[in-house]
Amino acid sequence: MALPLDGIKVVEYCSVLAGPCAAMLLADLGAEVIKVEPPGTGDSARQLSPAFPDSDGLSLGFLTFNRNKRSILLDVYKPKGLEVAHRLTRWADVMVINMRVGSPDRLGIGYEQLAKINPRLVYASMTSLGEKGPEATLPGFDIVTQARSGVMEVHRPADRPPVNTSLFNFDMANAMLAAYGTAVALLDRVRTGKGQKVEVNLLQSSIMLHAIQMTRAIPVDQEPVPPALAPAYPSKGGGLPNRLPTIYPCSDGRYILFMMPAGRWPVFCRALGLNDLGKDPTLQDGNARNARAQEIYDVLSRRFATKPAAEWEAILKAADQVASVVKHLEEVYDDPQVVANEMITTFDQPGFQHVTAINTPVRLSASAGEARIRRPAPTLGQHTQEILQELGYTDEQIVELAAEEILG
Amino acid sequence: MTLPLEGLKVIEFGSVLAGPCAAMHLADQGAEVIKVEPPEGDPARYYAPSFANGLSLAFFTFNRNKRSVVLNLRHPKGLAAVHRLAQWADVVVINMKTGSPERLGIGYEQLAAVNPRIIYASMTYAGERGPEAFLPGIDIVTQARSGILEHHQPPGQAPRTSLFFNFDMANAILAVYGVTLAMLERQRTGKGQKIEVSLLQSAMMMHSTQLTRATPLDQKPVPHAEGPAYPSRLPPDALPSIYQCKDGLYIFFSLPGERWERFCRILGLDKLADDPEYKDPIKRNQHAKGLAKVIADRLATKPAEEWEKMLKADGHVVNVVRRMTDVYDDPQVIANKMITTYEQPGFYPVTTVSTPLWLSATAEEYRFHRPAPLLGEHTFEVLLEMGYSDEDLAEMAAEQVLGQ
Repeated sequence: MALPLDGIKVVEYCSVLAGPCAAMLLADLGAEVIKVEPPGTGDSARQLSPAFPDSDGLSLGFLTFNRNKRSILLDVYKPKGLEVAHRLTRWADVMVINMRVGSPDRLGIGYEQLAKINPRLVYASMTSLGEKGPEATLPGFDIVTQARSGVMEVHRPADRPPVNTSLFNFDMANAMLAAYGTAVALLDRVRTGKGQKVEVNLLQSSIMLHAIQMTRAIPVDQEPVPPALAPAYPSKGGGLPNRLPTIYPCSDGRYILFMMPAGRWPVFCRALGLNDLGKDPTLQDGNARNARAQEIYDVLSRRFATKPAAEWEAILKAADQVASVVKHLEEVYDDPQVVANEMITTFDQPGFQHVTAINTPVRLSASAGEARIRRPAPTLGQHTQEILQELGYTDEQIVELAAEEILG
Repeated sequence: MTLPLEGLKVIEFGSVLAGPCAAMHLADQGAEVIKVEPPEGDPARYYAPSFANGLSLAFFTFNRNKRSVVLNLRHPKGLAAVHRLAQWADVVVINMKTGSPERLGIGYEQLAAVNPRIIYASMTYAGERGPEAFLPGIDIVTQARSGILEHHQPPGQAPRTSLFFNFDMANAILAVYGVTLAMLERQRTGKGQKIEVSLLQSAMMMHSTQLTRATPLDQKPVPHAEGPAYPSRLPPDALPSIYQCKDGLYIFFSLPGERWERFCRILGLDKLADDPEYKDPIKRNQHAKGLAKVIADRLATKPAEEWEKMLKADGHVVNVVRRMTDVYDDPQVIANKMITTYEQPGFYPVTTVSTPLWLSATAEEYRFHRPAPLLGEHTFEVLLEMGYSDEDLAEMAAEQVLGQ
């Protein structure tokens, strides 16, 4: 039994979240990933808090995205370091890089430069704001993209300043798109024999996540208006007084959320022990319920306040309703579906108890029995020697490189 | 020049978001997608804002580049037509409740029996195993289940769901990543397989930073909820990064340590820039309240865009807190064609988000080759391609196999 990317060789020049995550998605599915880290502290994720002081540069952030890789420490700024990079390029099928626009070319590891060395190379380039345009060379991160994409403004609590989230959804979407694009390019390569460049960027990935709110269409029998002025799919849910809320506090202070698909009102009410409400002929229609949202809200609030949220969740689920307690992040570990489907896994990491991590988020039946996590996260430069030997350097050459501080 | 997935044949049994979005990602790269809809059609056709003929903004977002076929799967001839399509197809994309595909006769095993090469991307709510596998579920309830809703809950207020369907979107991308991997594998093995993704798993992947836990061997293991976690919020005592400017707009900046001095100089706060006390970020957090006041007072003296321009010119990570509609005018969005339009009969060109990745070998060909289809627009055309005769089709139509 093999993994789909068995035999595919990847060189990664990435730091922090999105880039390493993309390379990890490839590694999880069988690719052999060599992570090239700069001198000093390597991938800056190694320094992010919470970190583990005696662990040789293993922080929680680093452990999240770097299992299944080997690490080589290399100073690509030096000519001999660049030479090693070129050798790695000849070895590789794929390169994943997240650097500021312009930096790879200055270093000599831009796509055009490396495609000359290896025309079969698939080069996944991940930037913040795209590679064209007046601000292409600005630094960018997930959080500032929240401001730029409009998401921060939408999430703003009423009458309060905006807040940012550190959940990094845009980084993650960017990583997933980079992995998909890489896979598509590898498939294309089977037909054409050639590699190509794959480009993704944070801003594009972020607006993809709310593509539905960005789409605009005007029938030809109406006046055209600029997209910003055209009707849009809603980005904020309505609440009282015009819409019946679907989140209620329960007796234990926890909240329950449920969905109200059309036609389920009588069943829903019966599950709550509110038969009369469910049978009320004037409330069978969603619009009618919204018109009396405050009144119904009061009835439901009183009812939900009589039991803990988890009990209501069980009752509603037993009636085939869509419902969930509004959970804390950490409660996910005990979710019976998470457990049954192995969505969380652990892996061995030298010096640690098992590391708990998200399992590879795609299941492929032909390799379902194969372990996805085959290596722990590497310490900085842990495999430099080994890899250089595999690339054909002699021991003497390696000693020389080390002496010239090419290897850190 | 050919698109990379040209020649790939996809059947989509998708409804609303995740399934249709996944099939769209394949279609955008050149795959031929046949969207099989029940007689009522994909519910997204009727989501507000909607238009005549079963077209809506939600439907436009995810259904360009496809043909639509209506088949009544509850009728044996409808199911037979699906099996014929399955013989033609390389890929099936489906987002249904666990168990439903099998009841309809379109589960993986059933279609693989018809075509062992089929690659079947199954997208569910909470996975296909476990006590709740058969429950219905959507993005919004996954927000509650995964902890995201609680995370966003404003203090002292009830949680509010988000209408950003990030988990559906992530689910779609992961599904097509799996499909492409399975295509690569099929080159080697000649066989198809089943791909499984779920909203709950995709949700957790989206915040994997906060869910990873590790304990060094020389410490005592503790339950996950008690172990150190990557922060999901700025610590309360940190220097704030969002301030209101003179025109009422807010500005956000991210302040890695070494930019502090230059940041202060741009703001005209030279004394602060020169003060050795604040060079250390830990010290800055200790004085966060006082510093925040100085910065806030200063930022309130000019409009947000003016500050943004100055700070960007000096290479800082900064942006005005924009509305979503401002994105259309964002110079980066324009220069990199992140928003595009496509032709849709009866409409001015529809504005939407471009295919979110570029492949250099085909970048110039990135245009949508089909508009979003009307319900069942291509039923006859497709079934004729599958070898049905005009008489067959007339019969099936009469028996309501092809919708009303």
